[in-house]
Amino acid sequence: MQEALATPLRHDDLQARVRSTLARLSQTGALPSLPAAASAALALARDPEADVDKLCRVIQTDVGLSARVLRVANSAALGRRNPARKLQEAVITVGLRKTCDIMVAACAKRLYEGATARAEELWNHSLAVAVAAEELARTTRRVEVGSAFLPGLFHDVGRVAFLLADETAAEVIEGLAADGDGAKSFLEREWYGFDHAEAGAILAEDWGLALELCDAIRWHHEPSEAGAARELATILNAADAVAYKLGAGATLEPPASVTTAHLELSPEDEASLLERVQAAWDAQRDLLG
Amino acid sequence: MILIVEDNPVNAEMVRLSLERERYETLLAHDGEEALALLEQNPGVDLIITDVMMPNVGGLEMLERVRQRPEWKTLPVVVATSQANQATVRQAVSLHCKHFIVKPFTVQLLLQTVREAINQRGAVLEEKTRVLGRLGLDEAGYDQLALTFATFVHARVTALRELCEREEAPAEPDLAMRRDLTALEEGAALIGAARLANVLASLGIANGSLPVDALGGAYKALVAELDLVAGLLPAVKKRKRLVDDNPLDGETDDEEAAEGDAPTEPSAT
Repeated sequence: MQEALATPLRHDDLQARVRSTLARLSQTGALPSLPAAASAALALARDPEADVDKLCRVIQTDVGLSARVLRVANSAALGRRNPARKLQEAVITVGLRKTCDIMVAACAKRLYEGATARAEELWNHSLAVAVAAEELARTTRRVEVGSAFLPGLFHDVGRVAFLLADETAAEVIEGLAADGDGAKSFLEREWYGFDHAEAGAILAEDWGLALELCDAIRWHHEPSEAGAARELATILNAADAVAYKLGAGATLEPPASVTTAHLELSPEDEASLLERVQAAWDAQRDLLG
Repeated sequence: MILIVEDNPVNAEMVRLSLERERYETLLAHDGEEALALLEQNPGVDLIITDVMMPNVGGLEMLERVRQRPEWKTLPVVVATSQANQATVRQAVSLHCKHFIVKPFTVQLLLQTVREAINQRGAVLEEKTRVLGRLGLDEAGYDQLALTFATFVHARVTALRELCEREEAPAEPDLAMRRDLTALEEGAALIGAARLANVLASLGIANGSLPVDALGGAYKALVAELDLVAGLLPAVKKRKRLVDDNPLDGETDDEEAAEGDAPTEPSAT
């Protein structure tokens, strides 16, 4: 029995507990971290004085990142007449914020690689949700388009943290959920004392994501609890459902808590949305390799 | 065999799956009361892993009742709790529990703690080379000692099993049985059957303090320990026969040597 669940923890205490538990469970004694280039990109994404030169200096530290940004700038979707040959030209074409998104996604992928086959499935799911969240933001205009990709990408990073910490526990929880012994979030709270959404929100906060985006991650299964981040949490929740519809779910069956119903899309709009998300997801997977 | 005492299905499944993957046999109880009943029915339990907070009888209350029984006094216990506060730790330590893990834990930590706790009981049979060094014996002397001890163990297993199978509760051991058990305790210590020696010592046979109402369980626990030792001793007997048949060939092949050297870690399966 989890004695600690008898009384709810204060937010600060819960944060401390998540951090200490994940660190204790990890083999290194440290929390999962993003590569330096991703942290720098996240900081630049929040910096109102960020400019192309600053961003290029960060990108140049990584040959793979430079190649990816050039590739996006020269893709048919952005319609340049002459191919961008310099990084500065590529960043201007892609846009500062979108370049940051690409950098973070490219770096975050490394967290999932080489861990387990399950982690790679979660990567595909996360990327699909990120792309779907961006597309839903554009379609519904409920939130700023630029704010949706990164929380979508990190919405399930708590699951990856659990998986990296202990594959057996993650497997047991999945098995019990599949056998109908409880929702995954409930089972996670039973074992860890918190669920993947809470863990993901705290990791994302540690990595430098804006607090409102972290709140959306925290409440992506219960958007009505998200306060100021409610709209974004609703978008993430719907994007999660879209990913399942595209065959990119985090589990075999979608959790009962994810739905596109709140967005009140017509069947035609939803079908068209699915097509656009599929195309964007394919393009992102191709770009990120 | 490992008894898991846990009311939370996620935690119970985590521990069960982790242990069974390592080929440990497990039993599951959902509270302390069920655990005590399972212990009665399964004298071969090598270790208890218990939660603290459970309905009906909690982990520490169960542990208190376990320690009141002579045959379970040395049974290793791992306390798995989500909050190891000082009072809990102090109470568990006073009940001879040395192993704690804080939930959630990794499989590696669980298995490491389980191995340490099981090893705490001592070897089923000490490695032959160590016994030779300790007693200053040669191989033939050791084989003779092992053969004598094996014969004695087989006889006691039979006698104790008969006692356990009686319909009435076994009576306090008579003088002959008490003398035999004392000799068994000395023999076990001599040949390096540390686990058996510990169980016998905890029964207090030598000083006559064995409580009458605990005899049934005590006999069953003894039989389980004697079975473990007896399972390893026939190899020694076989080796003795080979040496007798060919006195010039003191050394046998590697497989034979491996059979003679008993494992230091008891099997919990």
